[in-house]
Amino acid sequence: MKLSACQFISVIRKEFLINCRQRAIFVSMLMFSLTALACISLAIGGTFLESKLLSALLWIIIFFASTALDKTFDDEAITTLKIYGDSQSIFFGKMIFSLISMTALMIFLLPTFLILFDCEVKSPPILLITIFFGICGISGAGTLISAISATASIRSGLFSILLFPIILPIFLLAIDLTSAALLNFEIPISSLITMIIYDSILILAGSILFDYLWY
Amino acid sequence: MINKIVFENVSHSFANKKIFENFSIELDAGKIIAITGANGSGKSTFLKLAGQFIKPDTGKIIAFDDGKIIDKINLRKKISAVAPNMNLYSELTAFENIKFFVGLRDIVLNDTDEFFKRVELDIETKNKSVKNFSTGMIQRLKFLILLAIDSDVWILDEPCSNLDDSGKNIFLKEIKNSAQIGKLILMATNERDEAKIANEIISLPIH
Ligand SMILES: Nc1ncnc2c1ncn2[C@@H]1O[C@H](COP(=O)(O)OP(=O)(O)O)[C@@H](O)[C@H]1O
Ligand SMILES: [Mg+2]
Repeated sequence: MKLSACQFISVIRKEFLINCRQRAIFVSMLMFSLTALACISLAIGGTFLESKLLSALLWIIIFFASTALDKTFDDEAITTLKIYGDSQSIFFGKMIFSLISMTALMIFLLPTFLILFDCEVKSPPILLITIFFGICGISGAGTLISAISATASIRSGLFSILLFPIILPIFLLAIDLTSAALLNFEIPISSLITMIIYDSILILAGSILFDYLWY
Repeated sequence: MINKIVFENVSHSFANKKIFENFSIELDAGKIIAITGANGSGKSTFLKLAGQFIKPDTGKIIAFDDGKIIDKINLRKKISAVAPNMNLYSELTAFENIKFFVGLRDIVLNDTDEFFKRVELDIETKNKSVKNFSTGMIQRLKFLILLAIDSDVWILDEPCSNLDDSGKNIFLKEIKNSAQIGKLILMATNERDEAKIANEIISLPIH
């Protein structure tokens, strides 16, 4: 597996050019987060929420906001891309584009969330690390699923159901870690390691599978 | 350079409709090979098989690079194409499209003016969004990308469709030149002008 920097950068630059012009993806990610945040915080007012529940809420918002990115392959010039493009640079280019978009979203979402729900973060580094690896997994799985549905000969919305079992372990671990970071319970380091390993396997398997889809 | 692509006893069918049956042929570089036949006779399928974009049901398709057999991933890196189902990005400008597709082949191109002149596409259109292009202009842009990538194998599916006479002349001249410098050229066509420049014609029967 060889990844060329020139190809990889071409893919990322193209993604940004198109998405900054269309804005559909960015707008729907932002709209979902805003709506969810506003609804929840207005509805529950100043009620105290348990940290487990808060973490689950945060990850639900992240997950649904990320589904806007599942369409990254839908408007692709797929035939031309298959003729000129190499599978790996496209897979990783798209994935990194998703990751950067999610990071940008988190820069807005996380502080807003913490302020609205009046959370005190006992262990900020753990929270940031958890969020980073959580969105890595989401980006990897999302890119793969959207690639499968765009390149497979059977076009079916059912593919996105595949996302659920693939991504569930990441969520459970991320929720666990997030709530520990909020409370400064003993940090379950093993969960963090499991999450990093799971991410790596997911991305590696995705990259191998993508070769089969592409050639 | 790719020397030849060989079909060995290739059979291929779609939904019980046999398109190729025990088909063998050797496609050599350095000449223009035209594939003709009625609509639905399998011209586009032939091109896809030759470029190994699809696998035949039975039989083999083998590509030789400097006399050595290469696999489909390496063959793919040496192909460029113009085909009706190849889209460009309508949100991007002509220049951005070129830069992107050329970049996918590790080519960094900062000055594309030479290519705009070669396909006689107005330099003014360089920074215009492709969604405002006419079909003929898009066809020229696809051809421009093919010229800029400059690969060994050219797969041309009805390359002159939607072109005016001057466009056709430019394309045919470029195609002739590239065959002379040893490229492998496969051109599916139904137009007499295009078939006229071919050194070899494969005519596919109606099924
Ligand atoms: N992906 C496909 N699935 C099913 N049938 C196909 C597919 N591609 C081509 N065909 C059929 O194969 C025949 C040849 O198609 P094609 O190669 O596109 O013909 P041509 O380019 O000569 O007009 C047609 O009858 C077409 O319907
Ligand atoms: Mg055709």
